[in-house]
Amino acid sequence: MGQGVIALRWTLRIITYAVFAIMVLTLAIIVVSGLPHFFRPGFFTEWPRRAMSEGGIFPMLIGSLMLMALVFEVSIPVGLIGTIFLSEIAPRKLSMVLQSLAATMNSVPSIVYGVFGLSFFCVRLSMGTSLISASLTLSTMSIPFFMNSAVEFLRAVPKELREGVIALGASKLQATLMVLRASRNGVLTSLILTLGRAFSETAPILVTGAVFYTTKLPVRLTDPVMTLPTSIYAIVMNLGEESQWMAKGMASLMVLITIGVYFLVQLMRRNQRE
Amino acid sequence: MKKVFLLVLVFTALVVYGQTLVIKGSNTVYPIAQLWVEEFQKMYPNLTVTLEGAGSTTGIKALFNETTDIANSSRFLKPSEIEEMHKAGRYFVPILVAYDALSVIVHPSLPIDDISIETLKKIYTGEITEWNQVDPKLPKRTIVVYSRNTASGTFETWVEKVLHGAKLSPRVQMLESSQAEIESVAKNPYAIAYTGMGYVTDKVKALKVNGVEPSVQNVIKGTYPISRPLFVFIDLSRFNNSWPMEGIVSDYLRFIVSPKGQSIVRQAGFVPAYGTGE
Amino acid sequence: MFVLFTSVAAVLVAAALFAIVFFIFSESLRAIREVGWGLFSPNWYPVWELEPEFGVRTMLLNSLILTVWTSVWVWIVGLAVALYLHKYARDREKQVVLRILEYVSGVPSVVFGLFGVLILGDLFLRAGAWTAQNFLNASIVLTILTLPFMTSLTFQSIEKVPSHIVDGAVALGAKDIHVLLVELKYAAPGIVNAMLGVFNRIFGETMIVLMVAGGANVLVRSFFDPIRPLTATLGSEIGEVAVGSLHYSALFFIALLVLSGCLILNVLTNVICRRLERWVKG
Repeated sequence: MGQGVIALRWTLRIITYAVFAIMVLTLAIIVVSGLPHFFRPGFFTEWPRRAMSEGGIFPMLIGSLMLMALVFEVSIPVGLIGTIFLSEIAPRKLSMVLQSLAATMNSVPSIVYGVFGLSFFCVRLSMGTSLISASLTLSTMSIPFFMNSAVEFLRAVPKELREGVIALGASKLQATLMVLRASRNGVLTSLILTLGRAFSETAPILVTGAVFYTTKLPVRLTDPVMTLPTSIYAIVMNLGEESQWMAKGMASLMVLITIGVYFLVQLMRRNQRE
Repeated sequence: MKKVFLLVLVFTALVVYGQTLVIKGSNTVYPIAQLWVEEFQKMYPNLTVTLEGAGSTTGIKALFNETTDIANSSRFLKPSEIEEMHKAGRYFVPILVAYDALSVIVHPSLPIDDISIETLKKIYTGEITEWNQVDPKLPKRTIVVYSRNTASGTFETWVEKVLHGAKLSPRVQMLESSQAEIESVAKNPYAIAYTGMGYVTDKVKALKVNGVEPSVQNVIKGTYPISRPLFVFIDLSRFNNSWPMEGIVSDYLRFIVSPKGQSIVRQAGFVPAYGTGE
Repeated sequence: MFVLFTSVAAVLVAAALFAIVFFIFSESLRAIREVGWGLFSPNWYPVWELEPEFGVRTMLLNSLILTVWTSVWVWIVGLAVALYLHKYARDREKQVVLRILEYVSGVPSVVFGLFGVLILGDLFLRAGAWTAQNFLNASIVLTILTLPFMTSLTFQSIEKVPSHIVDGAVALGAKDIHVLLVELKYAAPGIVNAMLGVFNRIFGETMIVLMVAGGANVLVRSFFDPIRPLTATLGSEIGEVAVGSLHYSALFFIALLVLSGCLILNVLTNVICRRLERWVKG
């Protein structure tokens, strides 16, 4: 007792505080370096001009939103149904196998999804560099992620609820709907996290759907799209000093949105506990 | 939730009756193309244009894959590409649009003004690694060598004209764009890189090669040893194997060689191929 | 009917994983056949007409070195923070730190890449590094990226240790440090899971290394050397290659390597954690 433990405590404390400081500092630097640009007139409403050294990020915002909307349309229904199968319907052994498959898919690096998406959706299915390729690729990534996250919440619903409802004469379908309702907070959390991830991913859409510069918003599924993360990459790697402000502004925006999303999720978690 | 669904449905249901012109290819030509597109867009407001500048090789591949209408290129077709083109029954034709000098750039503070092709080759193949080996008056510091990446026509030209086919030393750092090269050299006093002349600004210093300056006059005279033509390629097999007399591609091509289009070449810092009428 | 419907969705998901593995493997077959053992040479010169080389050895080694080096730091620091939060932190401290870590965990990797290029890069140059994008830069950014994951998973594992174990040890008169060791033993499966997860994540990370690690294919010798890990080459060249060419196939071979690495790690994690759980339960 004594000296050794106190030294341990102080070492751990210093490390923790240092880590905390670095994290806060990093977030702060990114947000602050881009925040002033929000107040440039037209930052949110104009198109980029002059090699992105002037103008705004309007098309990137729309592109990201459209991509997210499409991913939402594809992956949430499929993911939800898959989760229901995992939790409610499949026999235990099958469900464990499927769940570990989903967990494995979760750990596959995003660039592998991008490469797969490129060769499968863009080339084999001839969808080209387009919104549909990118959203399908992202959906392939997002479905396992959603399932992994949501299945825990469905499983957490006590068995008694299901048994009780069935004893009262409900069909399997109705019982499942009840379970969904009971776990809806958790499912919603999973949904938000999944969309948040889709919003932030870069590598898969860089090679399947995003372009560096286009003059019109994507209006057909086969159009390519400009998104926030891919444009940040493009500006940092391809353009000069005069354009970096736009990348910083977008980065700042993305961090703020991320913080907002997680703040929301944390609130929901606290509500759920009470 | 329903609102989002509806919004997306509206988006995806909107089919705008307009055409799309897809342009891909050279990063060197990119700044010219960007200005061309902006001007061209004003003439054809209903048109959608997408522009990418990842590298000449990507543009030519895209022409093969039929994923682009126009390929910008800072080099001519490779023999393997010509062979492939014949086998696939295509008919790529080049339209000369400008001339470029591959400028060798260093930091303005480095006390060197002239360099020979031999020395450049030695630096890029790794035979020479420190500045004092180039010139004993220079500091004994590692040369930080930058190059464009393998998708680039600029890179191919460099390999052909300076390296004579030799392999790049693994210590050479590959960058994704010409602008990235400018930025890297501007920040590092011991860096060296090469870019199209249109990218050179006061942030860097362009060296003379074999005593010749990379100026517009020297390119026109043909005395600068690393100059090259810049092209735009189209696939005639999509137009009945003859020159497209009408349509959006035809209009675009007519625009870029017109005096107005050529003055844009000059504006971007390159040498116009056809004169600007001024 | 309902059952059938839902099972289709699940089957799709299972099929997807197999489809991915199959696809990547089949597209890389050409390179495996034509280049053979040359794939493991140290030189990567894919576009030279005369004698192209498709060796991934240097890139693979660089990927591994970067991953191992960064992982070790993340393991140590992550464990330290998790321990502190579990044992010594007051409730409010816990809340605040965990929240910030969660925010950081959601930040897109491209934003960290920007941070590394624009902000850290300048610092490196001022510190005298000969190139702004280098091994150390990538390592630092990767640490920031993965630390939240390591810390929160480790923290949860330690917290989940059943209290009767801890109380039992204290009741038996164990010293503080021994109680800690008991807790760690019980949390071991979770901690090892986190550690291998970090390794996996770093090995597969693309955007950050693409932007920040530099672009030179040299075997790293100093912290300030630029390197080109497998994922960076993949991310950089896949968008620019002719479909069906040897270069294309070689890139798929790289994808195969990355995918295999990740899958093997997954299996390893499962096996090790299950063994640990059995050892822990006695």
